[in-house]
Amino acid sequence: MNLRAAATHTGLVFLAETKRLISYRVQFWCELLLSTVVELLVTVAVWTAVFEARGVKQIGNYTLGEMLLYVMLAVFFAQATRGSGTGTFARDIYDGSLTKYLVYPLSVYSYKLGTYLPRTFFAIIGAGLSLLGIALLGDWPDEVTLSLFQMTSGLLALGMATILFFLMLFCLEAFAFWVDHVWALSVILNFTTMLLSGKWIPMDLFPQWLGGMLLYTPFPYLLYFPVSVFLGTSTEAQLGQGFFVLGVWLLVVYVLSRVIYERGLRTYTGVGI
Amino acid sequence: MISLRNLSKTFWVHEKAPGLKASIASLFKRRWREVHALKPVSLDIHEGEIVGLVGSNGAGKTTLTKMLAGVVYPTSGEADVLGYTPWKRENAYRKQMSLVMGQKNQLWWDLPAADCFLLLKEVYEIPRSEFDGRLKELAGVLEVETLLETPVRRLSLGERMKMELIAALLHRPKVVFLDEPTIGLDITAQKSVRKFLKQYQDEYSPIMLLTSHYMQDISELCKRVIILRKGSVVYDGELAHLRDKYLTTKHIVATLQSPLSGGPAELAGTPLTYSDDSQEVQAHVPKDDVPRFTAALFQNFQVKDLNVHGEDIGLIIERVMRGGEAVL
Repeated sequence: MNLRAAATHTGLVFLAETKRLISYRVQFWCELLLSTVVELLVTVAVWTAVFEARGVKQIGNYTLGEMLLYVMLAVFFAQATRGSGTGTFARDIYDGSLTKYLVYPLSVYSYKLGTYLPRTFFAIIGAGLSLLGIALLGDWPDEVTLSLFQMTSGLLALGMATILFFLMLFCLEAFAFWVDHVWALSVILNFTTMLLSGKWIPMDLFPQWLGGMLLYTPFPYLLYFPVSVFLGTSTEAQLGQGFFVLGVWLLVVYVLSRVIYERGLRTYTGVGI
Repeated sequence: MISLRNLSKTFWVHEKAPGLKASIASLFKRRWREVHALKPVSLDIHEGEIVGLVGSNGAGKTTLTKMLAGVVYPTSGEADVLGYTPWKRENAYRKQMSLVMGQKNQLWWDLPAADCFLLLKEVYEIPRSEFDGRLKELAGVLEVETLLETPVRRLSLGERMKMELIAALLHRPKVVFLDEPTIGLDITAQKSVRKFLKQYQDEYSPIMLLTSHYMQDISELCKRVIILRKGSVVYDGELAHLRDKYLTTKHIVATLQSPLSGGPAELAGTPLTYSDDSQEVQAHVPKDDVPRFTAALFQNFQVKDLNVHGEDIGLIIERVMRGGEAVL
């Protein structure tokens, strides 16, 4: 299948899935708005309390304003990378619904990515509106500037990170070909990712030995890297290196996912509920 | 053209004895059982044929269908469908075939059928003008034009199946695999689906492989039938031939001009039974003896009306399915 057809299919499924999400209004607003507001309030309250309790104006390289901007973006970017429809691939394998994707002249990757991206889309809109709101309210921290280059490269990093996490989940959920239920594994991956990708604490505040080690894993590139690029806290060297490592991880995880998927299909029986 | 050579499929099924102890034990060690879902099968299906695939539950019908649709890999053997190996799932092949599964919803549950069809239009790369014409035609024949904008989840089972059929036929496939398309439908919906399939087949002549537990689907739609028993083909041939070969007796019912009490217990060596009101005489007669028996009947009784029934084809198929000898 050529890349253009794959992109078209992903786009179409994206539109269909977006329509589907919107058709459940209560679920849509609760999931998108309510959970985000609660998460933002908690994160902002925690960091404000930490700064007040320590009586400092700066922790590491972050002032309170920078920290709040970081964690706010981290909340939205985490939603973006986590996407929608997670767990459905494993369920499709378990209950035999995968059959329909195998019959249609459509790549399973295109289809699943199309169902994954609506939440990414809404999270990016949420992030944009929040940034605009802060700027309009006059609460923007003086020490942070946003340039067009930062924003485009930040969004590019976020896009790559989203696809990387999509592929990581794809690999994990594909284990359903052998073990039926992968929910526990998926929870472990989600938790590990949130912890090690810098969602709650920026990675430059991690102990140096841990931060150094994590640089060889995909986790920092899922969240910390895109947020840092967006806020302009990465040096040029870190930027180039980050994109390179992210690209390598994308390739590695994609190849791995293909191997697991192709092997899994040989065991697929299409039997289910 | 579909050509299979020694196609087989074996599954490994996990087994666990009942009880907590066995459940705990299975955490550490599992017991597996080999299931031969399909033993080596060889057959050919030609262009324009509509073939019925029948068998009891677990006979291997769905496994065979799924292998031909490219969903399941075989354990051994070869298959060629329209020049393609199905399980390689080349797009060129997938654009020429369809799989309809009566027990599985293949449309997008939360979307109106019209949205699903638009998605399929792009997936199958159907030009807009052709798509509009085909959708109008199919929706018209199946009488679902007014339901196209209703979310699939809100449709009745029969309406949903009609939408599934539209989805499966929009791209004019050359091969259609129908796995129990009438399951769970009421009699009217079953008839309507059968009528539609027959009409579609007459007009476009795709190869159709139809799996169904309803013998009426098979007898009304298929000239040829393949009967599977425990993964093996036990009959592959004309439905009419099956009737000739396995139909041993005919049921004769004679309505008499006036009730007869104390009539003979047998006629021409065949036992007779009488209705409660003594108005009807019935007998099960070996099929070759029917002329001789009816002649004797007219000689000995004053017959007003006569009905001769062959055994229902469904019952014959069932007999072969359940253990009649192989007739390949």
